[in-house]
Amino acid sequence: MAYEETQPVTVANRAVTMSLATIIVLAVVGFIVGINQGVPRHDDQALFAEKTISAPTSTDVLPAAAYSEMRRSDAGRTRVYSIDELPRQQRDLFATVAIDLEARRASLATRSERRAFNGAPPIIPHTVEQLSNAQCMLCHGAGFAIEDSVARAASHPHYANCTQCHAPPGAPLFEPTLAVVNFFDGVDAPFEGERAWPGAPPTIPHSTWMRNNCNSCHGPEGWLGMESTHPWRTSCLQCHAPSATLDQHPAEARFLAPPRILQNSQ
Amino acid sequence: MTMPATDRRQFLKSAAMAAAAGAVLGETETSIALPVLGSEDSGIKWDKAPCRFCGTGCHVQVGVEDGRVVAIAGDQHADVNKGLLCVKGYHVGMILYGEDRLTKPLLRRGDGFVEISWDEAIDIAARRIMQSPDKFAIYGSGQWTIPEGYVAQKLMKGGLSNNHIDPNARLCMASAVTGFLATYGVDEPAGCYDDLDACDVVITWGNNPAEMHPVLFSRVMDRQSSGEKVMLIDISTRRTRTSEVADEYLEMLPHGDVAIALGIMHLLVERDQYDHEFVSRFCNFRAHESGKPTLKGEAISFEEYKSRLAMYTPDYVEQLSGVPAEKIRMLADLFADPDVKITSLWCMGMNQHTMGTAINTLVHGVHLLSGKFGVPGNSPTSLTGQPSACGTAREVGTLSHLLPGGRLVANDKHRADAERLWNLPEGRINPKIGFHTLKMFEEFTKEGGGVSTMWVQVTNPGQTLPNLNKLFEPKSELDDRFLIVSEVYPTATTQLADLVLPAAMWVEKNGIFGNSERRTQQWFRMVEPPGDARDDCWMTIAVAHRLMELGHPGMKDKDGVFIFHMEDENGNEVPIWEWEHYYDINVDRHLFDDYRRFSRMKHKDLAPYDEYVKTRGMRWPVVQQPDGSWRETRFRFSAFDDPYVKEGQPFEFYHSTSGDGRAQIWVHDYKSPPEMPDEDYPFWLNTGRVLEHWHTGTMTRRIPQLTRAMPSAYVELNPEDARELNVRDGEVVRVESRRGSTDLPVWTRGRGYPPRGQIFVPFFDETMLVNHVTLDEHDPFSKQPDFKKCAARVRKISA
Repeated sequence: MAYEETQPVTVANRAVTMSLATIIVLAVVGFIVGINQGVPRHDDQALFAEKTISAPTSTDVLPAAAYSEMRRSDAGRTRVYSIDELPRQQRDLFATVAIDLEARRASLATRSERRAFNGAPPIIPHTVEQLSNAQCMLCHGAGFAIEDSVARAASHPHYANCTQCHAPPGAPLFEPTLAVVNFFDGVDAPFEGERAWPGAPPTIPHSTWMRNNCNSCHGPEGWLGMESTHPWRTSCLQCHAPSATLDQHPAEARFLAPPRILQNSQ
Repeated sequence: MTMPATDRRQFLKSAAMAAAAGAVLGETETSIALPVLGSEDSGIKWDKAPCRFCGTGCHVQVGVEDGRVVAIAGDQHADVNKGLLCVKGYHVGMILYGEDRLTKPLLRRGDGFVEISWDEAIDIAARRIMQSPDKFAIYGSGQWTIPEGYVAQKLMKGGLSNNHIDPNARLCMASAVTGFLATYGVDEPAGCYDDLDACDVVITWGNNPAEMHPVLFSRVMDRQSSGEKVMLIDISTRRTRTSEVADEYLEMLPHGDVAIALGIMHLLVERDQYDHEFVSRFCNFRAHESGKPTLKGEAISFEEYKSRLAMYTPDYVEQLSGVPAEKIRMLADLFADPDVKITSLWCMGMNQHTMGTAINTLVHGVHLLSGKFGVPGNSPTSLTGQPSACGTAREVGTLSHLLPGGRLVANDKHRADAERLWNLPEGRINPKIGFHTLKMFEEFTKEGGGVSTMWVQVTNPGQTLPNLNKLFEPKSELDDRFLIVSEVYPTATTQLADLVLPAAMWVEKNGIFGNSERRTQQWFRMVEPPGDARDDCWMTIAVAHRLMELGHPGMKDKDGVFIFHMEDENGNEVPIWEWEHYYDINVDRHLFDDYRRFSRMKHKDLAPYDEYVKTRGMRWPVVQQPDGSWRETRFRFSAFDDPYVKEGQPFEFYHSTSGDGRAQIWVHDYKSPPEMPDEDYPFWLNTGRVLEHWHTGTMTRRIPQLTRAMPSAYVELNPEDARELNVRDGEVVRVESRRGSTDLPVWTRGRGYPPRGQIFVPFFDETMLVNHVTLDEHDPFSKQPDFKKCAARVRKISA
């Protein structure tokens, strides 16, 4: 009885494990291959440099395929993957989204750990290729998620000189030569926008200057507790009003003078 | 456990409020304040300021709450950066809050220091100067605000009759100055950043703007993102982030730039593809005199010019520069094409060069010869590394041979003019040129030298001078030398100081900077400096006043009035030498409006101070219009924009050294660098900066986000060289030259990628001083040393 009950579960587990393992292997292979495709490399670094392979002298064993051949070989054991081909999480756009305010608090706390103050570009939490920006867009171009790991899409795809603003961690081989203590205390992120009344769309509580991809933070792969309850609607500014003040449009709102009310006696 | 973030924030805020109680913060209500982020009723007050770091001159919006800077945003209304910043700029507010700010005047006692009062400190400095006023020197900075440089300049040249004042800009852009003077007869670029919006080709000459001037680099990259075609050609000795984005990466040997420029000229002339009309109407040919060469040179004929270029064939240039002959032809083809607009950018690569003046004039020459000049997009543009190298060092003229506004110490008329403007008795200004930076430190650090007391303001020569073992370290052996250092943090320079004066920085004081494109930028004090830290400008004025009390006659003008006399609007003297009264009036405003009288002679006209309050800077000449408004000039010497060009002609070089309104196209002979790799020292050593750290890292290394990204200096090695030396990434090796050594970790596939036989070390790290290794050989005209090349070796330390 017990055996019969648990059997299918074990099989299912194994299937999950296997498919996860496959995904991870594919991801790693795809990532490496993808990177090598997209990033210009120095001559001596060329992993797949064109080389003449000398013919094997013995016919007893099949010659192993050289890396330089594998990538281009039609019958090779591996083919070229790009990140775009990796399976993506299927999300139900129309599922009901309940906003979890505790999760938002946690998200804001995580978010604030990665920037000096609200408005500062976040630091990069992982190592990067020092010389080039090309590989940033592999994950942060369209956005990318495997299970719980999310690479959010850049909220400003036009600005592509990534490390100009986002500081990477140093190469792991260097020890800092000093412990930095700085008493700067930056401004916090706002918790929510203002609503005219319950049910009214909230106004945008942050600057939208230089950002045009709301989904980066508020989309299905955005921050927990900040996600849109209606991801199928994509014209955000149709309902949510930005702030001219926060966006540095300095004009003061003014009315024409009110009608001059004359006294009856005049 | 630890204090929750909100509590900590509250605590810091109340501490700051207590400190700021009763503070008077100047006239911020008249400036440009724009709230930008955070909740709208958060109580954050916003105001404009230029960024504290490089010479680009981005404007930031500074958010202040309860007396502390809490946020920074790119200023969307600034022409320079249009709302964008770089990773340093976004964190610039944090430079004020490093744990170890200097807050008390300190006097050396043996190995340590004692805290003293400001009265004592000012008195000690003044008495040292009184002992031998002619052996006193001021070493200043391209980070001085314009008023700070102006008071130091007036104290020295107008007060003490002493010309031993020089800024660190000597190490930074002196060759750019001599290049401009030799070519146009007047300093600073004719074009501006607008050229980057209009050009078809950008050529970076030994320049890595992706890291050093990132906002300007993005200005070009963003055009590419928008679908425009802009070709980027990177001429460099090593691969950098700029090379990675470039369409053409031309790897040259050190010093190869001279050959490349000559090679382009050669082809333009040989193929008769130069701009005949531009050259025949607006240019002369020039070469150095055979006897004693000067910046003026002597006129040569076109035939002579051509014959001196004859040897620089593409093949010979390939041999000298390592750049393939076909690429030299490609460059010449671009310059020959009348439909292509070319902007050249350069900075330290061409300036820190033993042929610095020559290569600067040659790149100007290539642009003049091809007529790639004076039209938006066609421009030879020299960039600066410091926020006010142009404003304070070059325009105020805080170099040992200059007076304000482009006047020369050695010129009788110019001295008389300065004496008149300053109301000084005739003959007050000393006609003898003072010590330039290298000479100044040599005199300070050698037995019986000509400098006994030196005051260093706003810079860190203990880290930046070349060959420190010769030019700085020997100071500690000489008991009769006295080093005064005004600083914000402990540095390699304060280590040897005898008197340390704690300084206010950036938005803790009023200020004015002048950026790379002739833009003068003003800001107001927004927060209080910590502890007893005070403005550099005040320190100089207080010492001058003390000198007057001690009886130095030079501290009075010819009517017996204090040289820094200032009055309030009722005509009463304000004792600005007393700190309590320093902010009773806006001293910057008084000094700037006094200084701007000097700006007309060389047509570098500045507007009144109050006009700069209203703008994010204006580019000189700023000329008043009939309706009373003030108009900036984007393109100098071009009739369509520059009001000083004579009517009826498209261009006029109205300060021409030949007196005929023409610019000079120079020719020079390629000369090998003074020190080249040999058997004992087989590597070329190059030094420079990285994106995250600025200058000597004293500010940026105190910002956790930046230090996380770039924790320490390193030596960049080619992987093949590393293999041959049997060293690995992270392994500490010794880099040494004939002058000294420093130990650094190896990084083979890091920020840059040098070819075999070359190494690169950034200079920001005070614990790994690469300037123990560098060379103090310098350009003969600019006296600027070459930090970009010397011979070195790399040694494995561990067995």
